[in-house]
Amino acid sequence: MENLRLQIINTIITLLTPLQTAYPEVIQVINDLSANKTDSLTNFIKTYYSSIPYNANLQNLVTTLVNQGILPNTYLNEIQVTNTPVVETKPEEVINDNVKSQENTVSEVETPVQTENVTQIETPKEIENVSNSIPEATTPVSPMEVAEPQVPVEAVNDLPQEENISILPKIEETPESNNKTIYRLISSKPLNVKSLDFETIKKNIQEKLKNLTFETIDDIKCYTIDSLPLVKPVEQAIEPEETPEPDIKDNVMEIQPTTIDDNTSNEEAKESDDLPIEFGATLNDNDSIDSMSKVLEVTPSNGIPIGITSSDNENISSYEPKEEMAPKFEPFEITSLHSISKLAEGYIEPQGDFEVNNQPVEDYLASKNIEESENYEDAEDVPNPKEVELENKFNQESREMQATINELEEEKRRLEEEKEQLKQFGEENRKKVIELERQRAIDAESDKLEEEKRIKEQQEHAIQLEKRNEILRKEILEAQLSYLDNANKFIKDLETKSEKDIYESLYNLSRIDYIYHCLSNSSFETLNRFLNYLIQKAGNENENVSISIYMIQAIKKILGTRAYQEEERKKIV
Amino acid sequence: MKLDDMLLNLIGTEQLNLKDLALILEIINNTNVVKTDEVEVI
Repeated sequence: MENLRLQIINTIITLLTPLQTAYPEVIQVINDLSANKTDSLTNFIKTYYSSIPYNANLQNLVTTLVNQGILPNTYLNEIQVTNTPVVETKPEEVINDNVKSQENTVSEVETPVQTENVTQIETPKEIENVSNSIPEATTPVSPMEVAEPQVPVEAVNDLPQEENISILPKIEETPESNNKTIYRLISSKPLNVKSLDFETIKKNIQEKLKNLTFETIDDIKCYTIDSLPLVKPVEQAIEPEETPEPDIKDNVMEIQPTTIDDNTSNEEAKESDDLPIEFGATLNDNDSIDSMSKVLEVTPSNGIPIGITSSDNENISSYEPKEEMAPKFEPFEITSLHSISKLAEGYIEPQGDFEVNNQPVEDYLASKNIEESENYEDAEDVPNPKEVELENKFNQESREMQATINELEEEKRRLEEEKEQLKQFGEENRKKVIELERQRAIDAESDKLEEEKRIKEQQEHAIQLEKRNEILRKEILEAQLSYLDNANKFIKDLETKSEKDIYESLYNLSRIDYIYHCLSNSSFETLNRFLNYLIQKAGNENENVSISIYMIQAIKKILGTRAYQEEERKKIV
Repeated sequence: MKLDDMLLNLIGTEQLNLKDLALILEIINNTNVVKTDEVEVI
């Protein structure tokens, strides 16, 4: 294991050594590694490689180690954080990635026929210049992107010649940028239009247009750049001295240097009757198009491929990207020779019905993306237990949430039904209450009437009782008066009766108060005559003497009372 | 397979970049791994 560690440290130092000129901190990193310190290396990796994914097999190994508890979970988190497709690349990865992504394009560029012109493109010096001239319009500048152009030339020179091309600016493979890929191949290295012989280009294109058969002119729809106005052709443009052979390739048509010679053009047209029709453009600086470093592969929908190869060493090296030169697009339809010339200059982006490698541009770029993303497929295919667990947990929670939502909806519907029922019940209750109140008011009214009626009846009954009592009272009074009259009459009758009849009448009264009352109202002569009778009768032994004695005593009392009252009256008189 | 064998196999077969090598170095420097040279990785 120790030997392995030393071997890895040496490998890292070897990889870092070429980067010393571009990254001053690499020197410190190498020194620390020599001293078995990895802190500075970790910081360097975090600074410039944070968005670079780990190797898929390494990720699997780390995952296994974490699952077995050999490594802490922090390693798993670190791998997952960086396990995303990235756009920017680390310095040395730019080379490998671009070799893979643009391998097809490069192979197509380097056709056997094209050898002399294309070889000049692929010098590291030119590539570095091209990289420096890339206007980074769409993505923010990151430390990695800033550092990319600073890759040491020595490191690039170690690579094979074909791979050197890959150091050209990597095309961002985002979906939005796919349609702009071809444009960037051209616009990243804008030509110095002052050096172009436009008269020659126009004549050449005129000749080629005779043999170019689009079904309709609408088959070509392009975009032009407002910010890069065409420059008038320089009259002093040097015509090419020689006419290189046209490059013929199945799917690529490239701008070929041509001369004003009509015979040559006609010969080329004849030669290319069975081959894709080619556009040619001549650069006056380097006598031919051989300095063009990029190839535009365009094939219209009618099957006629158009390829434009453009590069100029001096122009590219002198080009400096400016903000105000950022491309702006507007729909542009090729309807004139002037438009075609703009296409040849590389300021027009073919779109719409154009094809690449007999495929629609979008499909071609998509397949290209798939090829480049194969490096990451292994990492994506490996199921991460944590992700699977999280996904299962998420699905379970989703199902639970859905069940809860259904229950709540059911509860809501039930509550609405109850609310409706309560509303109906409340309406019925309100009607009942109103009816009861009305009935109660009616009952109260009837009760009141009954009470009044009852009071009236009671009053009437009382009046009737009073009348009857009055009648009875009158009858009693009359009876009393009658009784008194009868008593007075009885007493008067006693005055005229004999002593024996008086005794019999009083004896039949059966009450001594009546007897006393009758005796008290009798006259003195009647009392005196009846007293002599009682005395004689009391002497008779066979007679009941008790009543006779009571009558004698009563007469004596009455006579004594009368004598006393008489004496008193006399005293008063 | 032993852990060091797996790392050697990985280094020999895969195109590892600087970041991958730094991670492997960090794993090796980890004390747990140093002590488990004989760990059998399934």
